Amino acid sequence: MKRINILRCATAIAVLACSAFGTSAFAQSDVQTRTFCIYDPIGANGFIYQALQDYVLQARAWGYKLETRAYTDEAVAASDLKAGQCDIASLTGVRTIHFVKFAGSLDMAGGLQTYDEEKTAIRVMSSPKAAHYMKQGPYEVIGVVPLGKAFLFARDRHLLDSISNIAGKKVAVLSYDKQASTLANVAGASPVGASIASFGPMFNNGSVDLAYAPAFAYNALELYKGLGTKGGIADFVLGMLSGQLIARADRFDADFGQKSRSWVFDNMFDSTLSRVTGAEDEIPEKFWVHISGERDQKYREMFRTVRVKLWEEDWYSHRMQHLLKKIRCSSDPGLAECSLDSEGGAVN
Amino acid sequence: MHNIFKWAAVGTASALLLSGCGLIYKPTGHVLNHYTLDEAVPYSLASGDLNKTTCGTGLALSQLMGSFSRVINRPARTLLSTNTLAAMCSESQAQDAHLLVLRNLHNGNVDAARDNRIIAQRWERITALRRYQVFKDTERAYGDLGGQGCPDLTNEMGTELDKLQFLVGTLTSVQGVLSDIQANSTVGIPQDIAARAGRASQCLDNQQWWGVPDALEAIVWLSVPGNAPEGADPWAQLERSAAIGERQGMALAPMLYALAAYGQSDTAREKVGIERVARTYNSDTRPSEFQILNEVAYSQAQYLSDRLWMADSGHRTPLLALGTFPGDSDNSESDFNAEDFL
Repeated sequence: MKRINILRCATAIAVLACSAFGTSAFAQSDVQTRTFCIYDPIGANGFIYQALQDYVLQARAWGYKLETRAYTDEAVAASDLKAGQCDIASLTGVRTIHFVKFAGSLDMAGGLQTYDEEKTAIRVMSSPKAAHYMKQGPYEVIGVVPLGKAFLFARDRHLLDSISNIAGKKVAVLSYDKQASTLANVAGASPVGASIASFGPMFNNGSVDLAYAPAFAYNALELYKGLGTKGGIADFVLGMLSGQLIARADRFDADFGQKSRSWVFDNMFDSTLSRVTGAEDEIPEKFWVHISGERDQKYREMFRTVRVKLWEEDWYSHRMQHLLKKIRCSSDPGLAECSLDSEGGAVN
Repeated sequence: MHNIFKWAAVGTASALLLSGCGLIYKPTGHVLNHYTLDEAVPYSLASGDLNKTTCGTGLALSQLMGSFSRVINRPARTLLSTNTLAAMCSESQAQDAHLLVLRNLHNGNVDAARDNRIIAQRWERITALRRYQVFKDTERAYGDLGGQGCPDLTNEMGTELDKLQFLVGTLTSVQGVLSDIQANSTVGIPQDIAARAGRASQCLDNQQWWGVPDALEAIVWLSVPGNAPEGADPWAQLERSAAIGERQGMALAPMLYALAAYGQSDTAREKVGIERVARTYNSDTRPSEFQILNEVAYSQAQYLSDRLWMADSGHRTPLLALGTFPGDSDNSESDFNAEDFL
């Protein structure tokens, strides 16, 4: 009798153990491992890489274990995404335009001036109604965060007094950034090819007169050296830099992209923005050159000319171009462009 | 007459008691400051007990010596050392929490992992605040970090202490930038400190300081876009520095090699760096008067190793097994035929 009980007991334990093991084995197989390539100029110790650890945690809750890898060269991260070595890559909008035109066009020249406007744009992009536009071929943009306004840095602040002063001046332009070289040409400046690694030293040692960069670069790259005592930074926003998560859609469930976009907007926009504005606050007031009134109108007109040119060249997504025009005119209905036919038609 | 003396004595004592504490505190402050620099710092440097030194000496002396800022000039050189230790104490708490994030991610406990991440960020913020103070005290003691020229690091007692303090202050300042990034930049440590520290490192003799100055400079080259001069090869420099450290029995430069590799997500090099730290730490040539620096290097390398182990296996590096990695085992059946022995 005692023996039977022991056997019963052993059988029960075995069944329990098997079922526990079975559950655990199921849980393990239910998790899918994916590669997440993160571009951060500083590497794994950088702000972008660290901020995205929150996303890694959330993805685990959705059943994806993301193995992260830092890239200090964005071009390498983009080519690894193309080659299928990354299931998700975190790139800037200037780069994602080559994968998903609609999403990458967010960073267009003079597209937006305020973070409220950018928030509206990203809210639209993250909504289910825009899901269709966030996919192109095998790629899908599954999250967008603000990385800061791009500003024009001048070694001589008088260059910023009038657009005509820029004519003939050398400006550092990232070689892959078509809109920046177009802009330089429209302004009559001489674009000088640069990279993320070289533009800081070029500006600081006087190889170029002008450079554009987000506020992050001011301290990290010691751009105050190039600004010296005469330099200045125009507060007119050349473009909004965005960080975009771009995935190979077939490596994820069908509903993953939308779930991810909504989560990133709800959980990462504000925290990323506070980091970005913190960097802007670090720039001393004495360097800012306020662009307003007639100067602002002239700047805006020049940027409109650039966008119209790029519309004709089909460089930007026309849908995004019209969307950003609507946002600009919604926050500032008095803008001259609002009643013009450019960029998809008048909006009021 | 006798009474006059008696009352004078009572009056003097009362005056001292009521208003003369400053007369005692000021010299006490100076004496303690010098004592700490002359005795407590070298004693801590020679210690082999990292926890006691960072969380004991570092925390306690930071508060005690910091309080003398109220009665004498801020004892910056002393506080630079004590806050460096105190920051290591809080950093070890942060690292523990980071490891639990990885463990809970490994096991799929996302809520717990999120909670661990918040704890880690809180400790990182405390660490960043302490390290920012180290940066400020380094500048107070030795002038602008990475400014024009190099500070005079000649010590009035004829020791090498100021050179070491400057090295520690420079290294800790860079670490402060990284701690702040981990804390979502809530402290606001200026990021140019990295580039400035890279230049400041060159005020020190690379051979004398176990390859650390050049290793630090190379890390800055790798981390700050455009910082490396033309033709510079950060990895070759890190390699040379790690070799110098290894030869001299000081694991700091090999640890920086591993840290640089971690920053670049170069796991192969990271493992090489960790192995070198383990080898150096266990060598016979360790400088005993700087034992705590080897303990620091070992602890940092162990954290990097723990991250690799935790992500792969859900646990830390096995006891005294620094330099081994998940999947290293050579006990697999593939090359072994038991039948040969049967």
